[in-house]
Amino acid sequence: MAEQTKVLSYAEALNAAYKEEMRRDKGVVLWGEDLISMKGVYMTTAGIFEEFGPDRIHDTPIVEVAIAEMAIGAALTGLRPIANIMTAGFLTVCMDALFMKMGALRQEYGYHGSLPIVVDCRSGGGRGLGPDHCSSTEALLIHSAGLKVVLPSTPYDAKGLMKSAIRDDDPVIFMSHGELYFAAKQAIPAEEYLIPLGEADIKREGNDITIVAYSGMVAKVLAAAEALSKEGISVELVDPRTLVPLDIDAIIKSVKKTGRLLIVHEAMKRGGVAGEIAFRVSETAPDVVAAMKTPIRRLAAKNLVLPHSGPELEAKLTPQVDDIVKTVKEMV
Amino acid sequence: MAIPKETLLKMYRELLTGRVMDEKMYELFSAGGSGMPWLHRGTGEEAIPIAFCNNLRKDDYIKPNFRVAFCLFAKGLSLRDCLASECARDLPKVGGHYSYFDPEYGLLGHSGSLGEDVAIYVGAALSAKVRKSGQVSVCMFGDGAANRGPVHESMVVAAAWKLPMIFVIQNNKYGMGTASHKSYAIEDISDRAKAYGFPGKTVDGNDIIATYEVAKEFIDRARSGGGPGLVVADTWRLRAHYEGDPQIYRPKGEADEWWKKDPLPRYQKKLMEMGLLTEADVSKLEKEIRAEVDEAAKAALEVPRMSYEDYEKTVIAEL
Repeated sequence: MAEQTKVLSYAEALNAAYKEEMRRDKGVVLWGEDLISMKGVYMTTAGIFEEFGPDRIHDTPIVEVAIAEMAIGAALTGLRPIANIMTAGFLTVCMDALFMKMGALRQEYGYHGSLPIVVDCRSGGGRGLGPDHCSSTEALLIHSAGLKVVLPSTPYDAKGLMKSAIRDDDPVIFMSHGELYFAAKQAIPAEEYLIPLGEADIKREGNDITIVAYSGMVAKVLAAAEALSKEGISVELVDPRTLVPLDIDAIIKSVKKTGRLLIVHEAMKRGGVAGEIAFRVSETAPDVVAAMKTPIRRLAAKNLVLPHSGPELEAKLTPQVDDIVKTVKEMV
Repeated sequence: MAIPKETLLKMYRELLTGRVMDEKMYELFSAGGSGMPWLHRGTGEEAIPIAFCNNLRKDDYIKPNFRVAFCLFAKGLSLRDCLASECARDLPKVGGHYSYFDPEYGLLGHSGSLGEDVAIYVGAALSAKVRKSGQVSVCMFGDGAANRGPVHESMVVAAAWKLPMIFVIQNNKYGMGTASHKSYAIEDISDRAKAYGFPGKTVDGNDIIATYEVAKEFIDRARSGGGPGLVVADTWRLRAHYEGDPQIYRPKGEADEWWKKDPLPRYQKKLMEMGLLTEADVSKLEKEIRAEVDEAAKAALEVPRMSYEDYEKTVIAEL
């Protein structure tokens, strides 16, 4: 019997994940701004109020701190909340909730129980709308001792990872690149599947260089890899999908094969995730690094504030396909 | 409304226990070696949490103001567990770090950054409403913490969603070193409730009977679906912000008036007038309670501090 699939957008894939998990477990509840009134800014919550009713999904006032802090109270008292924060930039408003509570609570109190929270937000830019609306803030979040951080790059990954995140008994920050919601489309199996957190995916196999990239950057790296293949350079793209816990073994396995490592992210270079990944590789596999053909490099946004003046200026700050191609050629 | 005699006497016993516990904690802190990292005494403010606890079910959610968290024996915690928590000992549920965290008793932790935790208790109230459990959520914080942003957001949400949530401001007239009147442009803090759309009342927090009655009114209303409320319990911080604080900010003689309003001797006098308590009863109780608290302190000091190996076990991902 042929496997049934249906082409869904990233937003539709998330929508399916929420609904499946909400049907499976009455404790799963959603809240955030405009989830009912506008079906979420990207239609990710379409049909949920109609199917599940006012106990399971709430439109909040503009109360980002309460959106995040309430999730803690709910998670400690029998629910599995998905707290929606509109953009990754706004996560900075709820840093206490994320760092001092969700990420710290269990160690602070010696509490071995579960804290099942998903903080669900849009991340990244592309439209030149400034730091509040275009920031990628994952580097801030990996610096907590108690948060898991997930950044899918495709609809298929998004569905499987969201289902796992909801079932996970730990706080998970789930960040979806804004440009993927409508534009990314993929065949999704009708049959249920989950993708475990902490498992990388080889998005493209190759032999000459390992590129680690996630979220919105994956599409750009794939485009660069296509262009490079025409010049005889073979790129292996490792998409970690989860930053905490990080699938360091998958990255090391690839670097062992290729002998070269380039890490690419949309977020700003200084203090960005690339530094952490590079050192994780070097600490975990010093012999592999010693045998590398060229030093580890990273490509990230310049150390400038994202501009509020349209996509053209923003594109000058963030890594583009040309930048990736140019850097790979310097390394190979 | 008549408070049952058993409840009146139970609250007296608890108020007296609170005072003996307060003195024991001071003794433990001053002696050193107990593991108590710091001490913020709540002398004179014990009536407020006790009055509220006596209106709550075991599974109702409560966060007492940090200064009087040790009064959670009125919610069902043992004296030993209260003292062990103060001494940062490692109890399986209450934890190892000055915590009073125990979901079984509705204790969901507290925030070092004051005011953030109010929204946690709103989350618990929402959870109670979604699960239709009939539980209520009581979050008690100081007049200082009451000015934080998350408190405002919490009140907005609790009102908009008509949650079973009671906000209690324990107004002891000081936010660390700053007298409250310097931080407030209004006289009566309970006036804020009207702005959010729910009832607010100010009560003498050093009168345990009056506080009990207001607590009952607000808790019953919330539990029966009548929505949130704000109780402002007026009291005064008789001691320093923390033990060691030289209190350079306090005018001399300010304390004297307020020692006269100490809830314990007031309540004792009231019960004697009602014929429910005699001098002999008081002596007997004091003796009993001192023995209990001594016993509890000894037991608390035997609870181990958390080991590094156990601490690592609470990590969720990737050391």
